[in-house]
Amino acid sequence: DSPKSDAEDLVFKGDAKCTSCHDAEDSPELLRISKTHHGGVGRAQGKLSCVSCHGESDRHLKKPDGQERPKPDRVFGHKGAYLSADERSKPCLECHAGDRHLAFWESGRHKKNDVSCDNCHTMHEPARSQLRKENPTISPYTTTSRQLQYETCTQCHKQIRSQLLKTSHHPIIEGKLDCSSCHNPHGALSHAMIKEESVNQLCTTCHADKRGPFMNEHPPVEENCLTCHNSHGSSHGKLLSERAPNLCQDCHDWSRHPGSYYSGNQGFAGAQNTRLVARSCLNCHNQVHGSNAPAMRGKFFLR
Amino acid sequence: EADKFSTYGSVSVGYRAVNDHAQDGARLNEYRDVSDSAIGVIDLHGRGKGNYLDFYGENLGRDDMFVDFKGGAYGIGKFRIYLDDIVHNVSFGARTPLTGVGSNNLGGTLPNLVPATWNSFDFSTKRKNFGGMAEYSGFAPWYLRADFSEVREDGLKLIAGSLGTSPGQGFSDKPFPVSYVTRNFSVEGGYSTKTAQFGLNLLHSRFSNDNELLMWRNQNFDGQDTSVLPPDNEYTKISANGMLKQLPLGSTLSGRVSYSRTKNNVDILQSILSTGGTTPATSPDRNTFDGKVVHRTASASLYSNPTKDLDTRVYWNWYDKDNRSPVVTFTPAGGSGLQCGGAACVTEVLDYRKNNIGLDVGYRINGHNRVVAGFDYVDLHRDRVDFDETKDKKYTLEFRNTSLDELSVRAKYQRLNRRSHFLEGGAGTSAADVEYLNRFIARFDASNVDQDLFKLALDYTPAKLLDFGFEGIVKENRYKDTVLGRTKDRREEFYLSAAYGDINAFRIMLFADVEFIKYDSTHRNASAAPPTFDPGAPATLTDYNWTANNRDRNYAIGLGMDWKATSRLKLNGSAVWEKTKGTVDFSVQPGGNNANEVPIGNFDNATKSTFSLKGTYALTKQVELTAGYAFERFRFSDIAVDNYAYTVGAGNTTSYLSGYNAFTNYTTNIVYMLGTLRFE
Repeated sequence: DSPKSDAEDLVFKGDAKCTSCHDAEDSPELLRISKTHHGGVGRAQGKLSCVSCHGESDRHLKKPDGQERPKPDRVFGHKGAYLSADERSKPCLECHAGDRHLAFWESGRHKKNDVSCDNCHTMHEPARSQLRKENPTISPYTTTSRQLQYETCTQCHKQIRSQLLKTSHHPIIEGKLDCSSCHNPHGALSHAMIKEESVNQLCTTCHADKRGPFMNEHPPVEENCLTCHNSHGSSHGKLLSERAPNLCQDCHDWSRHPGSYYSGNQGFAGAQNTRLVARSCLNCHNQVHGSNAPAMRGKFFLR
Repeated sequence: EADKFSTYGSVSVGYRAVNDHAQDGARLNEYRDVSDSAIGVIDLHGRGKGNYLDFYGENLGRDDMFVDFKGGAYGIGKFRIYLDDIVHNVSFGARTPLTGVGSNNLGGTLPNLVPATWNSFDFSTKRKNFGGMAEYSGFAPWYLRADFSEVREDGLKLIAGSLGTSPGQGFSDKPFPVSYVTRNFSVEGGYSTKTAQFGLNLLHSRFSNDNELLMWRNQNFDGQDTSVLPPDNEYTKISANGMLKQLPLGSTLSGRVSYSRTKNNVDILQSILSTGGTTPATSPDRNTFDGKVVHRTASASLYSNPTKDLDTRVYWNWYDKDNRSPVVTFTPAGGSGLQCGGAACVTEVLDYRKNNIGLDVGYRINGHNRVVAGFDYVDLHRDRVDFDETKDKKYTLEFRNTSLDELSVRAKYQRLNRRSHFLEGGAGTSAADVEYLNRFIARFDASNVDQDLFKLALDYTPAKLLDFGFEGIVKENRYKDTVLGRTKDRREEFYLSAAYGDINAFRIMLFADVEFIKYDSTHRNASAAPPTFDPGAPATLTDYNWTANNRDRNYAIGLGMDWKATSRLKLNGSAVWEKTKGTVDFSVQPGGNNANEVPIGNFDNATKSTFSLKGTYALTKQVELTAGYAFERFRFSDIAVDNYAYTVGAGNTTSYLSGYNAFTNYTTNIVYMLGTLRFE
């Protein structure tokens, strides 16, 4: 019941007292940590071992006779729920607080909402970015076999999971975009921990064709892409939060066609109204993100 | 032995067969390359005493190829090189009567009202994203990092345009050639320790488009028309950020400043086909548009943790968009069809400045109860015709309880009050002047609004390995002083989940999502002779108010299973059913023209069912066999595409449609087999 005296270190210097019990036969296979970056750093610098994260855990080592073995000083994941988020993040920040992408950890919403490193990361599994995946994958068929980042984030962000599966979505469940393509989960000074200073500067990082500058600007486009789009997913095309023509008419009321209502008998089966069928308002006002066309053609985003 | 560079990994090769039933298979392949093909994955790792290499490659040679090669030496540095192909298929087998598809000059003999004779093409683009980064931290705490990437996007996208003076005279869909290249390069240097961090970053991004104009045949006027495509642009940004920790009261001070400039240089079209059927001069007051927009930002955040139970955060964000582009005035001839409201056209230069301050206070009542209160204030000034200043006051209160070991409760309430300064209270001279309508239009992105948000999240773990989750969000925006425009929107979203088991043995998870989303709006239908632009006036058959009530009902059920059935056999299963239904109800002011007061029952209605089952059998420790089956069924109904027709109208005012997004239903069966060789 206590560590074998002749045990040898298996991964880290000084880990014999742990690995004499938690050996290769143990399940889950804790020794797979040797294949992770922590295993690499431990071998290279010799300063990392089991106690660096789990604490000396003397009571765990010397199991009182006839009693259940006490837990180590610090455990993580579901089993560590009784510890506060700060206590569980503390050993990680011992080494990582100096990392540049953790500079704004204190300013971030995750820290404010009692999220700790082990909520998202797992140490023993050599998974991609050491991300924790506690639930089976629930998604359509994908052509990638990687473990995808959104599966870790949507363990908590359920509303986002629902939007990612919608008909119109960014290619996140296909593995072509990650949550960290737009957000810095380790903290940022911007709203919703986005990586850029504003929503528009973030969106035009990939959609550079929308950067302009344009002779004829569309005011809501200039201020915030999210006025019309839902970046995670929507049941409406082009990630629009509401369908055209209704979305456009929420702002544009004028004489004749902007102020008219396009109803159930105006589709192909009815009046075939060209302001409702196909792409509705965009059939003519195609350049709603801005236009460099001249005169009236540009002013009304027609060319 | 520990110093030896050891390698491990796996190589998988197999084949996928796809049997899909779709008139237009684009939706099935929207961001994927799901076709009969060889499939393979390479996943290699190397670990030395202080260094590592990881290589990953999948879908090699396919439209969704991904290759990722990274490595590093601990405490010295790291590098990464990647190639990521992102395909976006929108419509296969689209049609146009125009010739020269793929070029920026579309001709053709028109009219041609026989779609079967039209040219066929695919609306599809592919992004080849090649990039990398290198970071050196050998002189820690100093570091130096460089990132580069080149994104090539090629293919065909849709551009449409009116043919005559207004949609009543037809429009036409056309494919424009996409040949974009975006080259990004950034370098960052800085100093980073546990108590202080400082970084300086310089970014340069150049977007270039081989085709800045699309010339095409206008069927209405039988003349050559022109559409202007996205212009080249250059984006340069310099930013600095820093952080100081272990300040008094357990404080951390963080800050960031940035200056960015976007500019381009566009030749202004000196003439363009107009609604008069001729190609008159546009008469700009300059020949080139030298676009230049400067964004300046500054942010600061002071986080303090004066006692174990109390934490506070005070933050400030400043954002300034300074539009230094020139105002361009066009003075085309009267009757040319190019004037704006019968006068010169003058472009608007839009600037805005945003000042945001906020405070969060978190207090841990005891080990199991924590409350966080927040206040956020935004003062936004903008150059816009309707609202020039907007003030937001947002109050949040969050409560977290974990008193019961098995139950965690998180509750949040948020209240937003937005008040904006309205400039158009005196617009228009009289109710017969169309400008008069602007007195009553309040655009929802800036109008006065009272918002209430309630959020409740429960996580319940009654037994080991058994988890239940619930999240409910109700958010309502009441646009207080809006007469015409969006008057209210409301979201009611409920997410349930249940999961049982150990991910390393057997685990099953079920989720169910229900969302009700509503948008209510009021509008004014006004004719041209003589109109009454006063919404308060009694209704006539030509001048009346009407309201629209948009409803979206979204439902989703998902089931997932991971099962190590035996020491050799592992099963993974997933099934998702989603249904979305969009409707609009109209009501016309009594006395108005209610002939068309017919509700819409299909606004982006979609049903999607997917099922996949995969089995992996370990023949030996090195050799695995994987076999999988997947099924997908997608049905779409929408008033804008149901009973689709490629032509609408007749003669010169015919509209020519392309079939874009019109035939997206598909059913598909996918089977695949994969052999994997693992080596340690």
